[in-house]
Amino acid sequence: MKITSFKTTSLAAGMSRLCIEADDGAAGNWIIASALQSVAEKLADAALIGQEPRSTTSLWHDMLDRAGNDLQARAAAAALDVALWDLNSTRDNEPLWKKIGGSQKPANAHLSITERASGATQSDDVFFQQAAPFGFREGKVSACLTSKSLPDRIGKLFSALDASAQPPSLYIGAQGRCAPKDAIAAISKLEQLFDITAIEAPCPTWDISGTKKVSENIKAAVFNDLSIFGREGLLSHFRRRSLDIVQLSVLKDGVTGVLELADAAFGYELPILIASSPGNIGAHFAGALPYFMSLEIRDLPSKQTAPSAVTISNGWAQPGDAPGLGINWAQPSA
Amino acid sequence: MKITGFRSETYFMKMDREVADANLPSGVEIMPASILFLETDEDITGVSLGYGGGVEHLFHLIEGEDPRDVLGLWIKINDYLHKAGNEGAATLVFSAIDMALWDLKAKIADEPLWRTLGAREGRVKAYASGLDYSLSDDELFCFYRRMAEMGVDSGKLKVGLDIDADIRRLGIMREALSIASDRPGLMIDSNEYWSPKQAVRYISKIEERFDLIWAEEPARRWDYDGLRLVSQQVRTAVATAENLKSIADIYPLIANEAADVLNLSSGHSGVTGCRQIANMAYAHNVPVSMMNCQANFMAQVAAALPGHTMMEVVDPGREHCLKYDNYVQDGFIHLSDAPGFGIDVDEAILKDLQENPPKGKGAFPFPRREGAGRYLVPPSPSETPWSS
Repeated sequence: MKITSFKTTSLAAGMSRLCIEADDGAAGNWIIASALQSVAEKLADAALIGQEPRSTTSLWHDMLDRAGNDLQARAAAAALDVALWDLNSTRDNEPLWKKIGGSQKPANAHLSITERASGATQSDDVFFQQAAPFGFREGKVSACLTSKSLPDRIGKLFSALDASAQPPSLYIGAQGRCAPKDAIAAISKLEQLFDITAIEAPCPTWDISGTKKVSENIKAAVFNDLSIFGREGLLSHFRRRSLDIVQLSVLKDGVTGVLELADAAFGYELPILIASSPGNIGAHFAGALPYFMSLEIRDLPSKQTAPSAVTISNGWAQPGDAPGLGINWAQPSA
Repeated sequence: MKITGFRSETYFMKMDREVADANLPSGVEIMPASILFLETDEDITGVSLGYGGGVEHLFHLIEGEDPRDVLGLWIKINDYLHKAGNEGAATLVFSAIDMALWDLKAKIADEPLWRTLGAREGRVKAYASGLDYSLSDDELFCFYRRMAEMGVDSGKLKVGLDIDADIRRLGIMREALSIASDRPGLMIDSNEYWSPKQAVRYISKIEERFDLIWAEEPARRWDYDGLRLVSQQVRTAVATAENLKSIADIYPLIANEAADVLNLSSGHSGVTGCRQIANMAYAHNVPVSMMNCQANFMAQVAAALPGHTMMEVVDPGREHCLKYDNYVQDGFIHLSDAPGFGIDVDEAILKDLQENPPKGKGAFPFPRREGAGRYLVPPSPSETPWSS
């Protein structure tokens, strides 16, 4: 079996659908930023065309070797890797979670509201109303730690989450905008008001000493944002024990990279957060990663850019049994 | 598809030659072995080699489950072992079950395991390892020359009790391998016989004459301070980890920068555990090397591991009842497209081995030799043919 073609089709909002086809008629699809189309095409030509699509491990490392430090090429490699896994699992009529060896298990999930998407507090309320039927017990709000509106937004998030079984878990996406001491001061004030589970990038993630300093001086766990790539980005964090949780993303790590890096983190017993992605396909990892913690949900099922078989109920994301990634490409994206 | 049952078989075999190390220089000929068969409702059977027994204690965790969900089942078993610990006999059974599950997953997909694990090709660089402490100098030369004739250009010598003999025999190994390479790769293995400071002294002495790729187990398996000290004080890389059981055991070695190479085996909590360790090692830029095993079946896994260097090939004749079609040529283990591990069992030979156990010298496992970690007790003439 060999990969024969790579093509892209424009979708809405600057995104494109990429499709990899094999000589037995099998095809794998995934989404990529339209701006990365040409990068992905060059990478596919060089590393994938003519290759056996089941060689996922070897192809992933080959693509990374070719991408080097080019972050656009790294993101393109991740997209191609996801499409390869879609191809392989679709061909064998298996959902991705089974193809990677996982058990069918719902993913603990947290609702994520971004500063960019939601803007004013009023927009948060609309989002919370839309999310209410899904019963989220965990939530993340993204904002600079020094934002005056942050305590109010966290309070509203707390109120919007389902507290029927236990107090909701709160995450803050701090966006790496503070110096370590400023982050410690701001988080310490917030911790007088709230029991915060974890903070994403309280200072820039590349500042390993600073990240460690913050972790050592607050109660909440600290995790990385998506500004670092692969083992190169995580190695020093592992060595310094500067992160309490590791966040991975199919958008930069692919499926193969998530599996590999989650193993590395498991060596330190560091829990894994899976960042949001179209179709919420990160739900497929819940039954395969030994220290899976939570899946970030930005795309509510009714608002998905890639409608998928992943369903959300009582704050759990269920990947379903549809083959591959389970994305319904025939359904128009939101 | 569901797992419906299991059958385990144990037996003894007599190898073609003795194997030995510094802890038992006189060596053994008899080797115990086990085979686990995992049965399914679709007439596909998973096979794994080398566990110790006691599958019935863990089987209820996988009975009725889909074998393709192997990572999920690994988590389930690992969690079950939480209190008692993933150690000793439990690890052997855990490993055997996990390997048989991967064999099933690949067989269900009708593909070799190396492909299921994402490798581009079924091909792994080999190095020769004689487990050769009890071989005479002539036998030592013959073993490594035979491997060199198959293109193998690196070798690992058992050392530890007599530094002058070690240096002489390293020269013999290098000469034997020289038909495969102008600069054969040389490694030594002292099997935890030395203390860290003994290791520094002896390896430094060897380094005056030879350029070594790695020194294996130059200190105790768990002594990350000692292993790091050796690594810091000699040029040679320190390899270790073969006797550990899981990524949890490996963590102190990596976190304390105590290992330059990690030796992997099926006993590291199966294929899944092995891959976890390899992925952790890869994230830390530490190469890995697969240990020897019957019929080189773990080459299927090694082929797909990032950062894998070369796999140990011992070839002492342990495949009596096993049918397989991998082979060593041009210095590589070549794997076929046979599904799963590519291992079949000749039931008639297995039955004969069980009913007529062979007789021979000694039996596994090796005890630790007197003086280990403190002073050398050289082999007597009754122990090795080369001692004086």
